[in-house]
Amino acid sequence: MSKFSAVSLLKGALTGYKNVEPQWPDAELKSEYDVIIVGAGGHGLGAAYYLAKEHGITNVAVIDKGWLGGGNTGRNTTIIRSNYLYDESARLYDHAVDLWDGLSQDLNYNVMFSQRGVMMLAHNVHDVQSFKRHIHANRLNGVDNVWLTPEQAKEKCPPLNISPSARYPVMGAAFQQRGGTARHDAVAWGYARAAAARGVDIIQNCPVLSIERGPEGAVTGLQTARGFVKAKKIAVSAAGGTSVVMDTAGVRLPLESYPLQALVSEPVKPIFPQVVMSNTVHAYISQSDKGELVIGSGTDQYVSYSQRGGLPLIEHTLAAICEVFPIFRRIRMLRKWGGVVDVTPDRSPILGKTPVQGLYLNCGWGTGGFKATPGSAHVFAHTIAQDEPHPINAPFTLERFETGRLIDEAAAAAVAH
Amino acid sequence: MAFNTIVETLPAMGRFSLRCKRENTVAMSKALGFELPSTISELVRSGNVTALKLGPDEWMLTCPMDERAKIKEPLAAVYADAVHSLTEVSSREVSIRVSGPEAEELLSTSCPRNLRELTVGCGVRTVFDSVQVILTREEQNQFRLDVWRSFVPHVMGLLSVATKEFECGL
Amino acid sequence: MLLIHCPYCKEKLPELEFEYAGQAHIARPLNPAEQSDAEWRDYLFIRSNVRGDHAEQWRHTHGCGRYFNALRNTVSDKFIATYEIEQPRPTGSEEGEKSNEQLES
Repeated sequence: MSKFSAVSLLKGALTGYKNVEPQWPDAELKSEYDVIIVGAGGHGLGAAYYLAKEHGITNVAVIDKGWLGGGNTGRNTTIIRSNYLYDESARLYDHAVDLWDGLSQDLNYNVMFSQRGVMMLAHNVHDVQSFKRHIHANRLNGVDNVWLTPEQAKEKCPPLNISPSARYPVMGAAFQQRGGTARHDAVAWGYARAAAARGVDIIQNCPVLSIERGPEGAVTGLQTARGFVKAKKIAVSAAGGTSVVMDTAGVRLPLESYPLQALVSEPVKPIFPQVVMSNTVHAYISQSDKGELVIGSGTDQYVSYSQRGGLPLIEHTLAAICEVFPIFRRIRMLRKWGGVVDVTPDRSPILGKTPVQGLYLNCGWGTGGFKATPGSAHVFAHTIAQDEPHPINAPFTLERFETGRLIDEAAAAAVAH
Repeated sequence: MAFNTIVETLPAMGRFSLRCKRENTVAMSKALGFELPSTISELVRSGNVTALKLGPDEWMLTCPMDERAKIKEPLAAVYADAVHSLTEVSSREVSIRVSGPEAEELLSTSCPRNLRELTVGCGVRTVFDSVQVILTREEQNQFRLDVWRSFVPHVMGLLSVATKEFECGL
Repeated sequence: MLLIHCPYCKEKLPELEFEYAGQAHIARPLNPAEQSDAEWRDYLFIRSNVRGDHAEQWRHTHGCGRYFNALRNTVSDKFIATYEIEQPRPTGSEEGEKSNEQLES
């Protein structure tokens, strides 16, 4: 496969990109693999890439029931940040931010990582106290985060309404400069291309029917729509579909799958310099490089695999956006979509081994999995290769729901995030 | 475009929340001197007192402010034999009356219910732009909203914005 | 917006009047002190998260105020039945039931 460089791009531009070759081959399913990863999203493809690159394991397949990056990887609002309260979470998400920085070079594929800064608005006294606590905790953990007064926030983000009489008054904001956005599809494509170049098979449109286990309990392989495949190790990275897949191996999980919606407006000229989030009203907004405003809302209240979600939530989100940014009141929305997010009781992911030998699990990212993609993939690959969690993901066990050692970001943020 | 729908707040009235088990409703009715409604959304009037059934074991009783004893005293007298919970909530709510030919449409701007299905003389608890309200259809073109006091400015604000939009023909 | 039939009000009403309240028919252990940690985990955290017919609790918060149960398909979001809280779970559609068996076996 050819390498992208300034020269190759210039050549492509001059010749109209007529002879673009496929970036990865459509692989045939082999009969046996060392590792099979279920789910070809950013997390799964990334884990395959790091398995090949850092652990020398290349007899790997990534299997997906649909197309590559067609699940939550292609359905999120592309926000990246690491301003989490607890030490465990801060380490995990900050590991991801460290890897985001330099990912395009590493993959030789532009993921358009833009550290434009993430601003989280405080609308009441509780928010102010909670965000300041987050800021102090973050700085102790080496994560950048600063407090902004309403005027400083307005200076950074001019469309913000800081009138004290607003329905959701802005009393200040927490600001992480290293946060930002990345091009979500490019993350999946970049990892797929780089992994395939190292020998990983990417198998699309191949639903997994069940995980098969031998008489001693260890995994033996996967039953798929294209027949049985032997595997020494199976790693499930299937987001909203995790409960259904894992159930076939007899592992029941503390997960519930909810619809999470997002929408984009018509494209407009650059007007919105940061990512702005409001946890209290649960709306977040940024402007894509194409000029669309990308707006995300909270999860619907009921469990569902519909990939749709209800309109009342969209209405609530847009009402909040219009209130905080009156300038956007007459902008038109182009399209909306939904993903299925798997949520744990403590809103922290499950990333590690399972009671079944040879079965590894990466799930429970809830509404915030995209930002963690490289970090999660990196430590998940370590866990699979070494049969031992990386120190960063060691606290994110499945057992914590039995021992009670939760990582309660749900209580820390009072929202799913 | 002519728009003749009026939004007004009503003077204070006596309000009581009554909760009691099914087996005690007969005693309650006897003490009050009229039959408590038995289906949800049914409204019964007896003189100046009204009773609206909101839930399986919940009623909202109203009366003029100076006649509150008419509800309080007879129910207190039977308390020992028919256990119930009667809570005065007179100062909790303010009533807003919406009357005129476009009343139904005006309320539909913020109420998700199909108001055509709310029959005259019935009342329900519902939401009005995320505010919990009791909505009663007093006449074909006349509704009453009972709103918790602190939400009144929000509800009145929405109704006045909607009124302006209707007046402009939007 | 979902339209939900409240078994107490006997009316089909908009979702905005209701609150979702999690999986139904999860009984609190009768002898909490005798439960093992694993049993507490199952009671508190493990959920069926079924892709099919799901028995769940709802509350008609902005209406009659009652909790009730519903059987809803989590792929189509279509309500198969709503029923009072004491009643047993009704049987759902054939397809939805199949995926339930898959989960419970």
